Amino acid sequence: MGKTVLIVDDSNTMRKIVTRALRQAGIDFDEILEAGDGQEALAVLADNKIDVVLSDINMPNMNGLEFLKAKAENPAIKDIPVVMISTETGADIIDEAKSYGAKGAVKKPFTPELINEVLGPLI
Amino acid sequence: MIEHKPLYQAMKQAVSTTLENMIFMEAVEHYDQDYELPSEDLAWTSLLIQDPVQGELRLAMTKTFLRKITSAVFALDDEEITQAQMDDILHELLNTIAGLFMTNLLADDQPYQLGLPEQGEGELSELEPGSIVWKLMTGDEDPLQLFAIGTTLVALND
Repeated sequence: MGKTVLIVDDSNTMRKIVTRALRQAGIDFDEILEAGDGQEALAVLADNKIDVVLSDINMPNMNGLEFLKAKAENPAIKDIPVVMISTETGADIIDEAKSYGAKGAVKKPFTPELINEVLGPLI
Repeated sequence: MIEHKPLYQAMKQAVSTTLENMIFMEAVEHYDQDYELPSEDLAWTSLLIQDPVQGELRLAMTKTFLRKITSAVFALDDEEITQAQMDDILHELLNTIAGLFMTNLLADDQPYQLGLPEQGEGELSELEPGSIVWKLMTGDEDPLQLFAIGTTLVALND
């Protein structure tokens, strides 16, 4: 049975590029949903059954770390795995993301193989 | 003293990897290093490097090439492309190139801080003496150029 993934990024371009990488990674996704920031992502999570989230860190309104914190406080969605996608993979920010529940991180520019490697074990 | 790897190579590798992974294009040095982008067909964006060195990176290409990339990424016909989509792609390319450039440049996973890409207006303003230019092109000979500006940044090229 196919899965549903949520891509969270303020850049329409990056959402398209992540979508393309997911399809090329060969993971069986029924549906790929999108959100432009953390606030939108929380609304999508509340209204849909999402299997995994791929989220940027730097976003307006609610960034990726704030999104993780808010998600962790909501029992209905706190267990949905989140993987961060960002140009920043400094140990500090990744450790902070993981302390809020992120399951991993992928650095831009990524390959479909890397997406598969990180997402595969989570779904 | 900042420990770092060769600056020129760090940028070439960053551009090459970014174009290959994001838009499936290769990047090589332009065969004509005197080539200048035509001002009437110019698109560019800039981004500040804030830490641990201070400087600015600019990415410039022809609007024609930018439309070509936009068409490929969004799977749109030329007449369907919007300026916002073109701006977004240019910003994402520079943002990704800059992050990878700093990762390639700095030794031992040193942290760095970047600003957000800002749209360039009109012609590329005159560069400071000592600025570094990478004149590159894709396999289809579409030209693009990267610029590193700022004394503490370009000093890493010594």
